[in-house]
Amino acid sequence: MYKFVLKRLVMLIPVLLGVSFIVFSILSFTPGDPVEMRLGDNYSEEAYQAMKEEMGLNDPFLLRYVKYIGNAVRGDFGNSYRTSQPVLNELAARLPNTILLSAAAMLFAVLLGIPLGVISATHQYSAVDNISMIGALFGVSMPNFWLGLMLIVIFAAGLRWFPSSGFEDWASIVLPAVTLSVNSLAMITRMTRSSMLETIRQDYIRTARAKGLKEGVIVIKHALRNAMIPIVTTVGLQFGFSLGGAVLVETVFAWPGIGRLLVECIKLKDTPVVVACVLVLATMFTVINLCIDILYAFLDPRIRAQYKTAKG
Amino acid sequence: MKKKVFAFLLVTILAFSSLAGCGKNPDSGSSGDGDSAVKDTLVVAIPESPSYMDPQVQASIATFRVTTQMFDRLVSLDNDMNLIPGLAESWDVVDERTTVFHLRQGVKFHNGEEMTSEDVKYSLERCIANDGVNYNYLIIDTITCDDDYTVTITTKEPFNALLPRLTLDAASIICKSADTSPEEFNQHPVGAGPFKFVSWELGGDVVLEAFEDYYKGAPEIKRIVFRTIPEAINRTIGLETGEVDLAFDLGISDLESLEGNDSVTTMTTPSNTVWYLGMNVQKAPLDNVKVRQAIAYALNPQDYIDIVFSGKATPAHNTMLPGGVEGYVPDTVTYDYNVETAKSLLAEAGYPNGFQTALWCADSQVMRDSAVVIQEQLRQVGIEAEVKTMEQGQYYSETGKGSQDLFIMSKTSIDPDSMLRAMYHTEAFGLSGNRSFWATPETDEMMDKASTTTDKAESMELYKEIQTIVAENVPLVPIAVEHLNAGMQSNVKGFGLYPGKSHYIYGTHFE
Repeated sequence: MYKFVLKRLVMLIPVLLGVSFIVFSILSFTPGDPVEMRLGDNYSEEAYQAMKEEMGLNDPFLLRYVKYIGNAVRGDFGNSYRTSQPVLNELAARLPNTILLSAAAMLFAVLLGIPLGVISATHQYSAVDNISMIGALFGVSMPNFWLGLMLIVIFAAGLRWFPSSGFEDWASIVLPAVTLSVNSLAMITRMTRSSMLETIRQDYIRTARAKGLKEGVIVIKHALRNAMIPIVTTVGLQFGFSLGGAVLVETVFAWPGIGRLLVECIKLKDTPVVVACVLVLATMFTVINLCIDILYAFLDPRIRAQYKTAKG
Repeated sequence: MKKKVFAFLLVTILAFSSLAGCGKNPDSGSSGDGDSAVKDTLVVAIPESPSYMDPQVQASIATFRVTTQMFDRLVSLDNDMNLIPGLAESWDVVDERTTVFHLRQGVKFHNGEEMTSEDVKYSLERCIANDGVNYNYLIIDTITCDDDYTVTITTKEPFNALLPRLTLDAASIICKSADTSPEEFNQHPVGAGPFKFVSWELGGDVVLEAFEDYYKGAPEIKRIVFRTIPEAINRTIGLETGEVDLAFDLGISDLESLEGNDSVTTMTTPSNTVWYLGMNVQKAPLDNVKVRQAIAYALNPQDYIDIVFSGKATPAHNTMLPGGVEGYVPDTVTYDYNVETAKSLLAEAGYPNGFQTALWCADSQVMRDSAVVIQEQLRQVGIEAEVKTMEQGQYYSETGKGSQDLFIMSKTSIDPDSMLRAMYHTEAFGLSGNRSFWATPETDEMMDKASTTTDKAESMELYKEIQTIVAENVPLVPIAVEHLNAGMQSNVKGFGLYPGKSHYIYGTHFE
């Protein structure tokens, strides 16, 4: 089992190298000059050359990449082209906020989505089921920045229950987390419902009923547990997406996270920040998926056996 | 089973609504001091967060909006763009290259030290050494401290626009002894301005507090919190809910909706930013002056303003100088909207059926809207302009190289030399500002003369002539002067908008 985990962690390295190379290339070979970004409107030719030298942009592309990776491995992600402050500082200030927001959103989505999905499956075609499915359709189709603005208008400006933007206190996280969660909530509800529907029709469920077990026990202990694999996969993927896709929500709510930082830095060709952000996000995405894979082992003994015996 | 699941759901919903209890009082704010009888903390919503607390690293309005509260300069411009004494209480222009400044005595820095000429010399030299901000100051030759309160500045060539340049944020006077290293100064900035630095979380709030020993008197506001709220709608909502006391750069449609709101006041003022349609005279048919004049006649500034700025802008004058800037003269040559004249000029130039060209713009809202309006107005005279949009960084560098035909741009200025030079001088070709690539030796010489003569009347006369020649040749068509705006709670008084965008908060108080 540990071998399995170790192997997966080692595989992280080529993934990160590949991702960073692609991002570095894209930023280096697309138009837009970071030196100009830094200097603004008016500058002399000497100033331009001096700044370019200072930013290390006179080296050839591959050398710059190798230097960057060499430093990154030691924890030095370089300085932002925009502000010439260490990238690590900016990341450290903002990454926890995005993780917090995504975690809160996922928690809400899971706590609400799985029960809703279960009820929809066990009471198929009931009012709850219909409303949930319509709600889920709405949730995947609706642009989340629109929902965010609507929530602000109703709950912040109108009812004054929550602040309209920023990260002041714990109440600030409610509206952004709900906005971010809607998409995941919809996906999880639908996946839970369909997975449960499949599981409930299995023969062993009928056996359990025939044995006289209480319905609640059957649903939760037997059906849900066996239906969990696709649900857990969805949760893992959605967490990954919400980490990167929190940009719009962070914009609407002025949430100090890395989503907005990433977009701004891409526009301004601030390569060190972008590569560092992408590396961090890629690592988190991979680790989350690894955790999901480990979770499978706990949910399904067949998979557990596979991990233990198989070579890969 | 149903009960269990329902109970589960109920608990979840209740858990989240209990959080609502935490947020019930939006006025308490993070500093928790909104409960005092007279409010003394001003929460200011800004659209972009500052990159530095040091005004001499990078020229950025976002940074200057914060640093201008902490640092004063030798001379300043008031909200009507008049030159007023700052840390220098008087000055003598000795000759066309030398100015002697007499410093105010007894001015304290935030760390208690007294300002002397050493600090002034150090600050200006530090500015000149910094490539990010020194462009306007490379003309300075020497800075000498004649005594503790007298500084003499000489320029490399005769130059009469030194004073306006010294009002800019890059020329802020900092405390020499506090500048142990750039990183240290950025984290603990020390100036002589009305507010001193307290704290700054990267990407979060900047907190400043009143400097009691400010030489003009302690500010009435005791604390300022600069909060970055990037979306205009959020800044407006912040005003409506009372979370924010003062907000800069509100959305134009929000201004109208706030008009009926008694608890919020709004104000607007013309800025020094002029939007124009540039024409690359290196590319045919834009090299033909008749074609350019035809395009000028084809544009309707009022329609443009109504659509792009919802009416909240002033038509520009064809010399690119906004009304409040020195050297501005009423138009001697005008191109009032006239489709017929445009068409006949085009015919004279050999294009009776118009022609095809490209209109470049960057991907901001104003530029995109501008492109649509201008494209339509040009179509009326037979010119088919294909709109080419690109990302901002790329836009500035490509137009700097001269690949464009027609393009949309804006320019901010505070004095006639920097504006006219950047737009029409040979030295400014490309990235430095002159993206029309139009210049004549005659106007170059006149601009050089105007900036070196000490005879004010002569320079004004020269500027008037330059503006006439430029207007006749019309390498670019200035269209609109942008308006600045701000919104505030109705109990916030004494605030004024500064056309240079870095508004002064000193003087603001709660009623």
